[in-house]
Amino acid sequence: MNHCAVSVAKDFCGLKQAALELLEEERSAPERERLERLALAAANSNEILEAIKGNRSLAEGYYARVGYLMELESFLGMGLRLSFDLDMAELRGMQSVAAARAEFDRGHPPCKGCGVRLENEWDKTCNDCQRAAAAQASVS
Amino acid sequence: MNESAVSTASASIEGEGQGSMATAQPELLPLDIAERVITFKSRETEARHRHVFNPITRADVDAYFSSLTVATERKSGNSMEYHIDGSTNILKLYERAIKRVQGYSLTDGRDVMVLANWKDRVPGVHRLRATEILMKVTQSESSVDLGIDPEAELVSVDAFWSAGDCGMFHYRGLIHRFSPPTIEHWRKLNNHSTRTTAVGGSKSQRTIYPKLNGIFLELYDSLILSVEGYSVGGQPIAGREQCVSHMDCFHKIAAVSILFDKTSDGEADELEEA
Repeated sequence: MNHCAVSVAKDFCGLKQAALELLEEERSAPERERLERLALAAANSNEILEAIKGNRSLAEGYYARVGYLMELESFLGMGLRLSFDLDMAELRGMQSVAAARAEFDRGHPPCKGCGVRLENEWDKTCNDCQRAAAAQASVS
Repeated sequence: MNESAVSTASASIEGEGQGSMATAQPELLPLDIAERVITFKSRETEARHRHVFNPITRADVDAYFSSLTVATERKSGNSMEYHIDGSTNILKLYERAIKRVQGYSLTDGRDVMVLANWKDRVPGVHRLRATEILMKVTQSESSVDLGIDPEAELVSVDAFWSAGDCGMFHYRGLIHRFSPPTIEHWRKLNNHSTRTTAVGGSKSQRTIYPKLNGIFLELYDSLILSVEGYSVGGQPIAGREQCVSHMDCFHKIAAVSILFDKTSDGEADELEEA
């Protein structure tokens, strides 16, 4: 059994992985909520709920740290002038979050029609926009 | 972060067969009394017990938190299990601060205080109960009714302090007036509180959380403006310096944790439409 202890704030690979998982969680949230609603009325609701549960692979502290780094990132993105210095763990942690975001953006480009995140990096538009475009084409 | 270490670590003082003997509240909570007396009564035997403590120092509080472990562990199916060892540290605080007890007799009728190891012979549940009452500080139920201060954030807490002749006094509505926290304060607290440790490797699912007592005390000392309801030398506390130097550490920690819970709550109240 592995008894090592990892300082979460300095495990930048782990933070990147946690950030990616959180971004994926956020992207799939509407679908998960839809399935949860369906599960309420289904006979096998427990099985459905079990199957759609989040898929976090790391210790909980990683997600809390990423939450803080994302919030800090959003404050800095507002162009605030800070009267204090960020420490190295915060700066490198934010780099990990930025790297995760870039990877997420590559893997899930926004739909050219409505901006929703797409399933695959080669997709151009979402199913709803494709259906709307097809309906419009058949009318005209 | 929603962690009020003091209030979550404290059990109800009205359970397990004993009741506190609450009486009318004196005007001000005297921070500088030489001894703090905690009394409670056994519901089964009606016996009254008195635990007399030395004033709780910063070193006592640090020792209390250093032996507190807070961890989470994710189980299969993503459910979260909390591991909080909140008894060892309470007993350690008792051992450090207790001065004497009254109302405990040996089988031969002698007072328990004649024993060299009397601290160990006081029933464990009584030691826990007395210490919990000693450090119990909670947010006032009426704090939603606090007025708006144009320049400060107000936090109201309730606490027991020390027994008089008639029993325990429950002080209510003790006010702490703070400078509104800035992004620097927010950052300091969140940077510290998310410095967790994953035990057994990153994929172990077990997270140990850092102790927040030090950062809470630091934030209290930098943000406090004034307090109401406390006294030193028989006089109401006057000014920030007295708050910093005389305020009880458990009161500081509880007040700051409530302050940051309050300021991080971004939910606006619902509009009442006509």
